[in-house]
Amino acid sequence: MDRTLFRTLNQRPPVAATQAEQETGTSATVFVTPGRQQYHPSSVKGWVKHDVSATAQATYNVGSMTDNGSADWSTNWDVDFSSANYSAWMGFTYTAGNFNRMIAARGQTAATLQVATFSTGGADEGNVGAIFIGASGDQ
Amino acid sequence: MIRSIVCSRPDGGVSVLHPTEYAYARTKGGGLNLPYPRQMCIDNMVKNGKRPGFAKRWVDTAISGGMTDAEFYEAIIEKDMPKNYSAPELVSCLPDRWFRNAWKRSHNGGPIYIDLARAKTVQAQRIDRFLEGKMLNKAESLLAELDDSWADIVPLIQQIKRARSLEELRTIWPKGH
Repeated sequence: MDRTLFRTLNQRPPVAATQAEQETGTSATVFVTPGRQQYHPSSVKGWVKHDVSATAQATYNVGSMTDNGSADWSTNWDVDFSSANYSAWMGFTYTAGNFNRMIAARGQTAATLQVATFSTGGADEGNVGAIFIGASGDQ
Repeated sequence: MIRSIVCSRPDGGVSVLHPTEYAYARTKGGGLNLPYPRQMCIDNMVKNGKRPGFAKRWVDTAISGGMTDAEFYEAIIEKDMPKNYSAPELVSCLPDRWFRNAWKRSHNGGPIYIDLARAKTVQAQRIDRFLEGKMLNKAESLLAELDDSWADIVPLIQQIKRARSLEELRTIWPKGH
């Protein structure tokens, strides 16, 4: 907005949110810049799309993936969370056959999230295509 | 092309680390916006079990980059390989995944081989799942046969909706049953 107009209205020019303001997430007078957007509590801190061999197709804040065995993978965060108390969500594409698989987290630390897909017979990656992981929380 | 890292687990199995393009790019070129001031990020990593020297190096490359390929793989191994795993080794190709849970490797390293006894279990489980799927298909076809019976339910539901007394309601029942 034109500075002259602000002077006319006797207002301060808009100010970028500090990291602390973005983390607090309550100010309605400062604006968000791209470099600080991710500090808001609601923002996604890391995500990945990978296949059953744990090869990542696209990531954000993921240092590496671990293939622990059939239907068992770990996402190793690049910048860790501050503790294991963060939220994560997961899903997968199903390629064929009866849809009788589920996905679940089977381990979580500040640095790693381990997930697995199952059928009634146990760990099962059959007909699983891509796996999607996302996480939010305090880093 | 980024290479994978195989390592031996205490149970004789094999885990494979796949470093990401994201980590590779930022350890080369830096430019990462850290979530907290540098020292807090280092302290956080140390709190989570990393060596202080390594944590400092990892965080600093997030800002300024500068790792060689060899340093990058060493850093990924130190950061993401569990401490009780052994013999990390860079590889370019891996065996077919059909018998993935039968993969074995010496604690001292070397090639991945497939353990026959474990492979038999893997195959038996695979057949078990296949037959289970067949049974589900059978169950679905049985349900399809029952569909005709479901056709009788629609008028019954309408009758139930229209019923004006308990006595009338109790008389609503499938024909012939």
